Amino acid sequence: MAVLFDGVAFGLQLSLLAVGLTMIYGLGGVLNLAHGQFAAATAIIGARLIEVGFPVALSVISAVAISAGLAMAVDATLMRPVYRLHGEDRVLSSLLVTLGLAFAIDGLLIRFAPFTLLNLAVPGPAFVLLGVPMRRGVVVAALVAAVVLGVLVLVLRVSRWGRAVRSIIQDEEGATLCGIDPSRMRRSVFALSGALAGLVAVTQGLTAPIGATSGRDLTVLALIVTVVGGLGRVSGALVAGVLLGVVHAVASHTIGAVLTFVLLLLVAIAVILLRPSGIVRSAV
Amino acid sequence: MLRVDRLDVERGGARVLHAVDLHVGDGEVVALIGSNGAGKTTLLRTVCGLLAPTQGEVTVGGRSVVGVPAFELARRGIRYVPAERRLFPALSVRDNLALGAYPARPTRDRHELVFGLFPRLRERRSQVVGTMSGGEQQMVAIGRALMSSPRLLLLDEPTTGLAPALAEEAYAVIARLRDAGGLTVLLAEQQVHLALEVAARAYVLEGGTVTMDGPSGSLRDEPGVRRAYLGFA
Amino acid sequence: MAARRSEAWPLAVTVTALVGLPTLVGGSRYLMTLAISMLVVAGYAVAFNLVFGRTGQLFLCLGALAGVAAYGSVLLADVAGVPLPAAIAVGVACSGGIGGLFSWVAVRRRLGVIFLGIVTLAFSLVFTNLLVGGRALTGGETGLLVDATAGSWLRDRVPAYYVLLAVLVGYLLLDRWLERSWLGWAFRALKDDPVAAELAGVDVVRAKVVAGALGSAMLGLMGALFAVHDGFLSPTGFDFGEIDVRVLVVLAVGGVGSSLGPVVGAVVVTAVDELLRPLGQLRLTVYGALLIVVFLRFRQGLVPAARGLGRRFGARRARATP
Ligand SMILES: Nc1ncnc2c1ncn2[C@@H]1O[C@H](COP(=O)(O)OP(=O)(O)OP(=O)(O)O)[C@@H](O)[C@H]1O
Ligand SMILES: [Mg+2]
Repeated sequence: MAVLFDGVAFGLQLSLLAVGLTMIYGLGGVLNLAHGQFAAATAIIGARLIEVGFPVALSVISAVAISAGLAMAVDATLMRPVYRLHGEDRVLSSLLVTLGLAFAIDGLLIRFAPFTLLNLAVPGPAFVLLGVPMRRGVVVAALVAAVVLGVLVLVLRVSRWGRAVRSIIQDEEGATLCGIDPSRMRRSVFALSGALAGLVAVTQGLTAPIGATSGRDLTVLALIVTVVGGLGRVSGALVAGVLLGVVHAVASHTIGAVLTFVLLLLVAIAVILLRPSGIVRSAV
Repeated sequence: MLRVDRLDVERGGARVLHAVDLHVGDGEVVALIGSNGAGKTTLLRTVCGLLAPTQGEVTVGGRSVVGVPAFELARRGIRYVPAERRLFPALSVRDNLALGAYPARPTRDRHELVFGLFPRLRERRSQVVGTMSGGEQQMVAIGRALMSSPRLLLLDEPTTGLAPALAEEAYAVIARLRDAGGLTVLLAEQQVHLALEVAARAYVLEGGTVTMDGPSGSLRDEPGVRRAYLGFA
Repeated sequence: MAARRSEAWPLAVTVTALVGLPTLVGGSRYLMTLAISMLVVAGYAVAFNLVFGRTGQLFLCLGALAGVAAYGSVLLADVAGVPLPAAIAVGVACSGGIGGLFSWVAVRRRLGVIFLGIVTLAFSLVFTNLLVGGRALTGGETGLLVDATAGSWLRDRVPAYYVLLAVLVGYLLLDRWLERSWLGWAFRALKDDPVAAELAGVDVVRAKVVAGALGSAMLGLMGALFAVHDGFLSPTGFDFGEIDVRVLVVLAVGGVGSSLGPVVGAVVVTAVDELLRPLGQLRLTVYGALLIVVFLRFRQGLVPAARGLGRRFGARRARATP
């Protein structure tokens, strides 16, 4: 039971991490291999702001906002030539360019903040949930993730912006013919995904300290969840995140961290080979 | 309303349209006829901003549309309904129509107008568009374009994939729109007899150039048109 | 045709220079170590060029493919007592088999560049994690000492240099020969338009699988030979961040698709890498930035772009002085 709760709590954060990645793919047909690096950068910026004496809440919010701004800047600069390409060329150059970006960010963070950690541990006794004691940080992280995901799904369903996003995912030309500007929507979604990645740094910081080297692992986790949920499928990312979170928790409990990671990778490979459109049957 | 001057368009390095002149007056319905590959779609896509001309000028209401992005032209009321419809298959009829009004909020009046033209859409407003028949999808496509009170409607083969009865029905709707006034329509069509019934004038496009034009009535009696497009020997 | 013929001379010059290199720097252990790692990277790059440059298959598991053969042959030799040449042959065959399998599955399941990229990246991470996890056999993160070549001439830098150089030259000859065979024709057709190539009767499956398997075997051979020379194996030596990125940068600098590009790229990158050593982890940033700039600005690679620039400049001067 405790394992299950832990898994769901972690899984919600995985969903949060993957949902931005999958939306970017759905909208622009590009993959962002620097997604986790946005989270790592947020962690470092947040930690530094706290170090110099800003209030924790303000630091964290600013860091997330900076991550969103960075993502937006990347979309406006590096991704522009990528969007000019089409089909496989576009995917390929997005992979190479964002891989370069990932290494660029990694290098900066590891060079200038090798030991900085974002630690938002919540003090106090554990919550008891259905007889299972849960650390406060974990519960808060799960709640934050769940609320943000809920709001996101709602906004996508009912707002004009959300409808426009979903329309581009389904048919970009059709959306253009309705007066929707795909490149502007892409930019807003890129910024959103930067903010969501940053938020994952925060929720991770609530459960365990997170530092400069976390970017690569987070990118890979995001990729796994995105692939298992189906590239470009928001609902798929939500379901796959929670599912893999539970798998992660159960496996770490039984076979250890290293083999768990291997298992998740193998699941991703299996899904690509057996069901490339993802485990969820739905169009978006 | 629409004026096309000496238009040249290239696709994939080959010249597809050459020196095309054409105009459509306010509130007029004009047909564009021509065989497969004549360049009808290319012309419509250039007018709505999806393709850029290599030469020539296109103005709508006196303003040039060349170089203006397609989404911007859609917001200015130039609405193109492609033959392949380009609907959002996973969204409901209502959501598809609502997106037609973007970025404005879809008004009740507009919904009522579309449902009035296509009563079947009212019944099926919650149905997901991907599961609808071709005829119903065509209604959604035209309805979506009408949600924004367009000034110029560009219809590309609105009868593609429709049974003859449904094709006639589609043209009955276009005739109603024409009679209601206020809407200018340029439509490309292979079913020439239908197009000539609803359009006041027509242009014949062959190999990327306009070879004939005039009032529908006189074109219908033109031997070349009768032979090539109306199936008379 | 003319473009490829014109590559023969620069290639010959480069190889001659590489043959002469030890007579200049053979005395310096430091420089010879550097020269050897340059040859290895060049070999990896030629191999990757065959897979990615010629047939457009994005393998993101270069380090892992080299590692499969390296760990495989060392473990076979040291633990199972297989003679070293046989052990290396088996290891290389494993790498080739895995690479060919990726290609085959990718073509069969019609995986686009994105899925092939993710599958191979996942394989790369699985491999590194299994190395770390299988401590009993692989020595885990601490690594593994190679007993099979202890005290042999292969451990000496100069002879090892020539062995690796011979292998590299072999790769280059193979590459040129492939270009002239039916495969080269298939490669070019594939590059222009994969669908049209298939319709024109190019055996796409075979062309891609051969390129994938051969390239992977070449990666494996280079990895295995370097391992038995170096006498030490560790997961970081075959890590994605260590090998794949460097090879991508080499290819970015040298240019995708030409024969000489990977070699020139390896020379440049090895030198730059040494110069940037004081930057520490910031080198990653430089590499990242380089990847971005090169793939966005000069899609054919830096060296070809510079050569094109030089040619244009030369042409202008020629016109200016009648
Ligand atoms: N994307 C493209 N690239 C290159 N050539 C194209 C492209 N699209 C169309 N063409 C060519 O342009 C010409 C005109 O095509 P267009 O689609 O405008 O004709 P059409 O009159 O609409 O024909 P149809 O009645 O079949 O729809 C054709 O010769 C076609 O082959
Ligand atoms: Mg057409």
